[in-house]
Amino acid sequence: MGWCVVAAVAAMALPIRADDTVGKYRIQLVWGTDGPPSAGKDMKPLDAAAASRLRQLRWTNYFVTKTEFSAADGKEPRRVTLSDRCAVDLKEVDGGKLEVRMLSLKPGTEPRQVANRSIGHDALKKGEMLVYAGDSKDRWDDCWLVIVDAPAKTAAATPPKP
Amino acid sequence: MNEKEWTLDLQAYVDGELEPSRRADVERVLAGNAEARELAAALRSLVELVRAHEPLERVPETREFYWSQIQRRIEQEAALDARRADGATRAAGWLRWLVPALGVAAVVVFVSLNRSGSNPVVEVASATMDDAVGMTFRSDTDGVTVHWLR
Repeated sequence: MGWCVVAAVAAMALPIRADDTVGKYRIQLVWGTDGPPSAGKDMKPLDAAAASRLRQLRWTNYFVTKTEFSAADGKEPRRVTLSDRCAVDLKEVDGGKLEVRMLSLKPGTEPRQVANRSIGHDALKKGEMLVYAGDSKDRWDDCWLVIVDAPAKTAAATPPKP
Repeated sequence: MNEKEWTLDLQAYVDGELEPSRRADVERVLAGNAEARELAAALRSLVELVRAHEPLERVPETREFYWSQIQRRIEQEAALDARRADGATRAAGWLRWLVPALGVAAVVVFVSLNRSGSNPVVEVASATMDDAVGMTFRSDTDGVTVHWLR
């Protein structure tokens, strides 16, 4: 299935509080295509604001296949599985940054890290998006994207109902 | 000659594009092979059909006017190229010292930026041998950093 996984780990733009507690991050698995969504798939269009920020990419349509919210507190990375093929590990690191590891999943094998990037909390609070993307292996000319960002705290605290 | 080569030769023969040294071979085969003659006839019919129904692109101008415009444009481009070449010669003189000066300026800017401690929005946390990021694109306007994986 051609999934555009836009791995954008965007640290949520949380309002600054005295204890600087980390809130939840939003991770979206997105499929980019120039065509309509696949029939029978429960996919919603990526919100217009986010889609407009991907205007430098050439695809016309972006559909969200999965949305997860996760914090990254604790010493161990927090794993967010997005599909049977990919997952991300979130981890807070020194210097006020969020580390986002992109993992490739294959049955019968250990998850393999394919990329590791970090983004500052300040940037995430300003609404920055971190995106991992690649060509779809299933559908020609489509792409996948994993977008990580930090939406407004109130939105993050209550994930949207499916 | 295998079947594919034979078919290509036959197509070229029908189009009148087969080199003379091989034309005799094709004609010899056609003379003795009814199936080959049928194929050649079918190819000729196809060629005639395409030619007969090929849509024509018509321009509103007359033929003479159309080609005169092309000739005028060619002459204009040639004059423009001559002027550009003259300007390029003068510009080359300036570039001899401008390029090194710009290089020095770039180094100064780079060093000063690094000293100021500016932090990139997105950093490479740890690039391992398995790092699959083939290209990174950053848009300051949109606040997006895209890492394209191979």
